[in-house]
Amino acid sequence: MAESPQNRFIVVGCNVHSIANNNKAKVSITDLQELQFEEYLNSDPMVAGHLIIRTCNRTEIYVEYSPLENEDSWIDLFCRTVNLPQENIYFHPDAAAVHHLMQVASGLDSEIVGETEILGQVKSAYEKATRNKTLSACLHRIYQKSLQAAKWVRSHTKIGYGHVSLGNIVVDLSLRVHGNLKQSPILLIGMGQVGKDAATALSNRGAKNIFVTNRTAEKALTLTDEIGAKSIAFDCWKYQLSNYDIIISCTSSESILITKKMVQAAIKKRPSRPIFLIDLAVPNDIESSIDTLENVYLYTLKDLAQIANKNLDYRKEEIDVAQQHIEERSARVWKDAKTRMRFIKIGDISHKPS
Amino acid sequence: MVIFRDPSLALFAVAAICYCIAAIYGLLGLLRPERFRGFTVELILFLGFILQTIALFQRSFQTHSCPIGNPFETVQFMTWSMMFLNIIIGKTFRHSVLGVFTGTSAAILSVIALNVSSWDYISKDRLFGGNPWIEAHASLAMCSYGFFLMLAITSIMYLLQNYGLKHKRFLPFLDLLPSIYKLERINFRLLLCGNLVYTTSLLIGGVFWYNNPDHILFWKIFFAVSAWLGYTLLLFLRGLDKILARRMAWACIFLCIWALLTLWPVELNRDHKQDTPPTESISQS
Repeated sequence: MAESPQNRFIVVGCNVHSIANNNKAKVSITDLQELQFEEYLNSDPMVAGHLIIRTCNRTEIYVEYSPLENEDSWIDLFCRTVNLPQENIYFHPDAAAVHHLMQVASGLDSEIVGETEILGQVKSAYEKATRNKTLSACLHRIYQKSLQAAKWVRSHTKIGYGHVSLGNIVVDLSLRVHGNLKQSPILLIGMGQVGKDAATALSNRGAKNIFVTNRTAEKALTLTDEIGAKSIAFDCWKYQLSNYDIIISCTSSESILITKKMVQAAIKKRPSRPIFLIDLAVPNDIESSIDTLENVYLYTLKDLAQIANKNLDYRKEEIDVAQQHIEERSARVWKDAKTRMRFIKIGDISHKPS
Repeated sequence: MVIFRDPSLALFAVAAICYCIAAIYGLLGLLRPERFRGFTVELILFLGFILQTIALFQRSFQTHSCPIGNPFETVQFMTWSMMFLNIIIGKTFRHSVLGVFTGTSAAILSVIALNVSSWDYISKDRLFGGNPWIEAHASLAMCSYGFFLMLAITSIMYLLQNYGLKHKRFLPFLDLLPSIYKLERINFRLLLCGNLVYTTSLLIGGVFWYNNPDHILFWKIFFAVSAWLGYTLLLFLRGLDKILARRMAWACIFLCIWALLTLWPVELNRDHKQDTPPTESISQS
């Protein structure tokens, strides 16, 4: 008896790596474009199941379909819907598609290696597809196995080691100096983007007493709305330094704003409470010799970047271990999935998940 | 083997093994913080603590007094009070990391005490001459040593955290340590409590010495008072914010070493005391 041909499993998509100049705007699709994909995939009788992963860094469709359908049609459909040339997209069939999905879920294919957000996004996409009943039994299994693989990679390797975003690094350091951010008064001087990101990260981690000061008071007000910070006059902060546990400076000033003398006077008023200063400005706003003072900790943008790079290097060292594991696991999963795939005959629509 | 002849010794040995296991497991865990299970460390330490408590209880029945009659028992009692403090204040530390440090210190002290067989001798006379006041003085002093040992441990933690932050070193286990601010506050509280207990102990001992001046060696008083003066001065300076942060931590470590060294003249006094029984006890005065 001749063996019946099996269904195919493919992924077609684009991400920040596949597009020239990492143009994120071209990578993410609109709701309308997603709807177009959904409509097409739902109406195609040759499709046994499908799932769409849509983030700001990638758009991917995973499809299980009949071998009677030409694989080029998927590439054409994707290029047409997202308005991208063929060289900007990738296509992986069968085992390679499983391997790719595991890589994506583990954060190995992310712009920042090991980022944790992607696992949640893949999970959400899976839940959405399950809700909409667009997954075949085989796709269900591939997804569940991929999520398991991603969890293994995260718990058995250091792929997610440390933080690589400046905001999160600032939060980590603040916790090591002060512990409880809820009680700590924080002062943000200037409205540079990195400073705003740091203040937002601190606010997200529970900081309640954030004060903002800027030469142009109106600019400071934007952040007061966003994270509930309080605005103070730019002339005042110099006399209130001792009131703050964490001071973030991010101005475009050409000269030093916070001198050693000022901090010395501030720490004298609160000798048992440390002051944590973060200088995110270029050129620096805070005198570097402040670091020699007892109970005063100073970190510059350069220090934070070094930490981020070190953590990133650390993560990259783990890529090989993670890749090896994913290769073994994806081969196993694909071998198992193949046995579960059903061949769809033309005109047969009973295979569609109801 | 001696260990099987004396059930309390066997229990001390098993407790020491528990502390060693907790220390090794905890230290290895600190190298891979993502796999560190503080609860396991605490559980093993708690088991060790229970065994040590039973062993000390047995010893107290054997000696009819607080089990601090020889250097072996003194070290065991100090370790016990340190572990007791760990159980009380350990919860305030993230991931029970204090347990790793305390467990390591307890393991070292217990192993040393078990290996120096000459430390565990049997006293010629009934300890403390059956005087409950002097027994209270000795046991309170040992409790305060537990505080001072714990203070030295948290000071080491402070120095490690401070070093990491000042030199921008990011060893993974530093994330598990409490914040600089929290460690400073813990150090101050431990110093205050330890000092209070030690002062009470010395006051009781002082009354006994007043009534029995020949019974106590000058060197014992000198060293005990020097350690007390050191800690009191440190507390006073800390209260005035004159000594803080790194200096305070170093001072706590050096004073702890000094306090442990003062146990040697105490031991000398024990030999002296056994030659000259007390004429008048505090309870008689």
